[in-house]
Amino acid sequence: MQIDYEQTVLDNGLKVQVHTDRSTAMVSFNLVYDVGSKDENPQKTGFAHLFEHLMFSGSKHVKDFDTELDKVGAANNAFTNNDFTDYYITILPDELETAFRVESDRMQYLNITRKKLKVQKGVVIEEFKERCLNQPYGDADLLIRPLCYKEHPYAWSTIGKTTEHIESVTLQDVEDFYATYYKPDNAVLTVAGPVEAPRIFDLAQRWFGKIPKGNRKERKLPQEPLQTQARLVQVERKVPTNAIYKAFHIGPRMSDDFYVFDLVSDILSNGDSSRFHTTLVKEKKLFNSVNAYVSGDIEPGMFLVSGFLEEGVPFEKAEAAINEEIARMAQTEVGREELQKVKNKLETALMFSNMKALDKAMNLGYFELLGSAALLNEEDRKYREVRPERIREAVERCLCPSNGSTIYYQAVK
Amino acid sequence: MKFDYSKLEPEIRHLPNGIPVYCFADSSLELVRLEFIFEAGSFFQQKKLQAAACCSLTGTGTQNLSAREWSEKLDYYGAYIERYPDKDQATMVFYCLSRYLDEIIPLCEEAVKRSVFPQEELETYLRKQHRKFLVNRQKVSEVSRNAFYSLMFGSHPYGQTVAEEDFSALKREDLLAYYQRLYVARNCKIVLAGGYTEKHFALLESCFGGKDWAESGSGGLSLPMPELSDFAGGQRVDKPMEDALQASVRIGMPLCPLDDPDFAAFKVTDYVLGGYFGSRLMRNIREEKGYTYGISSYIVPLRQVPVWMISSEVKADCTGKVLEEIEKEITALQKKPIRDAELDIVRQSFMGEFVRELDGTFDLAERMKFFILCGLGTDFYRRNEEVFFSITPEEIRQMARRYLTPDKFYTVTAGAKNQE
Repeated sequence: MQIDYEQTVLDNGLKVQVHTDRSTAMVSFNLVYDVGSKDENPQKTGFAHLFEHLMFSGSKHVKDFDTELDKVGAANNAFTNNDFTDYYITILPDELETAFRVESDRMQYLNITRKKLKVQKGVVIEEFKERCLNQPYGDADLLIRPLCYKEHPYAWSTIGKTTEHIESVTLQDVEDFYATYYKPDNAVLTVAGPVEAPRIFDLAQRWFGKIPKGNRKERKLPQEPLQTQARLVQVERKVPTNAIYKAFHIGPRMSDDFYVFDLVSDILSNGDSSRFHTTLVKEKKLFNSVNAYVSGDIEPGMFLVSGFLEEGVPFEKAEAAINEEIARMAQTEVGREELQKVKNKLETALMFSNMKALDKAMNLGYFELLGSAALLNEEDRKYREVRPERIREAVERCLCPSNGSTIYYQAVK
Repeated sequence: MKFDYSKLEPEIRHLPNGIPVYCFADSSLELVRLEFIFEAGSFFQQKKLQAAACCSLTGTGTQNLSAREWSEKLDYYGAYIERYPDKDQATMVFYCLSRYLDEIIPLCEEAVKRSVFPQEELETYLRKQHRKFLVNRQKVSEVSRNAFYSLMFGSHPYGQTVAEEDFSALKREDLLAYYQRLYVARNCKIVLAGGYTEKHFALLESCFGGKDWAESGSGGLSLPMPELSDFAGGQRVDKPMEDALQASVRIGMPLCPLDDPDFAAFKVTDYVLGGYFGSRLMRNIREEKGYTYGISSYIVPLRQVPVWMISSEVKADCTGKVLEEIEKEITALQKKPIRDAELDIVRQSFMGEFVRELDGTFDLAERMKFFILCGLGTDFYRRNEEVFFSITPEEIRQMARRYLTPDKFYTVTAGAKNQE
């Protein structure tokens, strides 16, 4: 898999990348800001995401952001995670300049009023309920993060720790955040589709070139101290069945750990032939379902396991069975065929995640944040190069009890 | 905005036994999407869970491969399967790298023609579904969905909801009987898309083109068409749910057939009301009032009668206000003709969405299922576009008056507080 692109950097620090793809009728315009919930004040969590909502409030020359894009048949949306905030537009080639115009305007002249802030707080709190608070097991992420992280800001979910934090945001907070992070030198613009790089670079210069640089200080996040003891909490919730959640510290996104553990999670739980499914669900019937996955965060992340217990199975027994499967990987190297299987699965997944122009634009932008867009083209190789001994070593090092946090999620009537 | 409708026209080929294969070749892709469509949704079942279990368990144990062996092979080649047991159709979609398609087609054959539904697999499936059932009983959106279909359709198959006892009643024999009756060549359509070659097509032909699975087992394909009620409407059900922070609201009604002369004009009206992010419901109930994260209206294309619906999850203690605001927006559509500026936005937004949704080869292929369901072709979309761009504000108002009549609606809330 090879995704070619051209790149330039404007004088104000905005990085501009172009990927030409003539198989699509639409242009994808992706602007990612290097700010996420990890940059928040621990007393005002959920703020980066609330701010993302406010970016749709209109700006000096663009009264209604969505309407301007609707008028030309363009679609747009945005999302926030722990690491960054991404805004994207898909638009017809003939209308492309509109995307430049509206995005550059809200990078400089965002309009935020007390009323808009109040309404969006309400919308975000409803989103909080819809995703987390009013869903069975919906608060699992809110619980596991602070158990796993004691210092690092990954201790809270992007949606925030509580709805009160969202309530407490002031107009001043909003203005300060905007002035600090929404600057050209804190962003990467990627355009993909039936376009030529020189024209995109010209448009970028015309619409973004005059925006002044920011003066963001270097990011200094508190580092997570090494965990030395297993952590366990039990909570009671009105849900139908018991569940277990486990989190282990692993390395950052760009370390070998990420690729190794992504493969490990597939060996354990991707597909009907995976170890967890065949052993824990079908053979031992301890779990109704059980999954493993990596958080995929930029900074040192988590390897997560979540499982729903069958009726009458004690937590200790269920957990021991998970631990046994993990221990098996720490003791015995994965066979060649099984490793090849998960590598093949990842090859398909990589291909799918880079199928559309918008996917490619987002991925190029994301990898540029990670250091260089060129790294996207290394992904394939990095997975292929993982050796069985490396997997065994990493599982032994990271998936040991003293590096883990566990939640017994107890169902009550 | 121009859309090349010819992109939507597949190359239609036939296997020797008559199965149509809708082909969307794209040599620039190194991936293949291969879909099998059967008229075998829950509409046709004689026992609850029968259709869903049958579709979901295809491939988990076949005449030649155990469940484990089959999934090992599929997984080994990095392929995966998605199964969609819907109300009308049951479909299985395989995705794989082009270079492994030779290995995958025979696995599809095992799943589609030779599934044996081992008892153990059925038990695992029922365990999982039962848990899902328990979890869904706590989700306001699921509770309201079930209540809505049950209120509107009553005992008609579209109105069926699963109950506790259904999980123990379903037997392996039910699946075998259903499979032998409906998973046959005469009831099958195939959609093939992506980077495949003639050699692959020949393999598809040899695996699926024979007479060995052409005819239906006992019971035959067709069943007497269940009678629909006369849809009197004007009914409301409230499902209280303890401690719910949000309530799910659904308002809906049966709609005219998709090929009715009114359909496209109604679609415009629906779009104005709740069909896109800038719709009147979103502007009012989310962007003005902050009662919800999202609210929308849409059409669910069921074959016997399409359903139009508004749905949203809202602040539990604002349920009454939300219902009032919905009614206000409908009244506004009936009273005042839409302004040209808004209509223009609606036109562009609708077409933009349409072009985007059909931008890739796999998106085009995915659309075939809908065409087959409704017995429609690309003319359906041409007509939509034509009507969106020719309709007048007065015609939209007329549509709102003719169809959006609250005394015909079925209304359901789940988890609401302070019911008035």
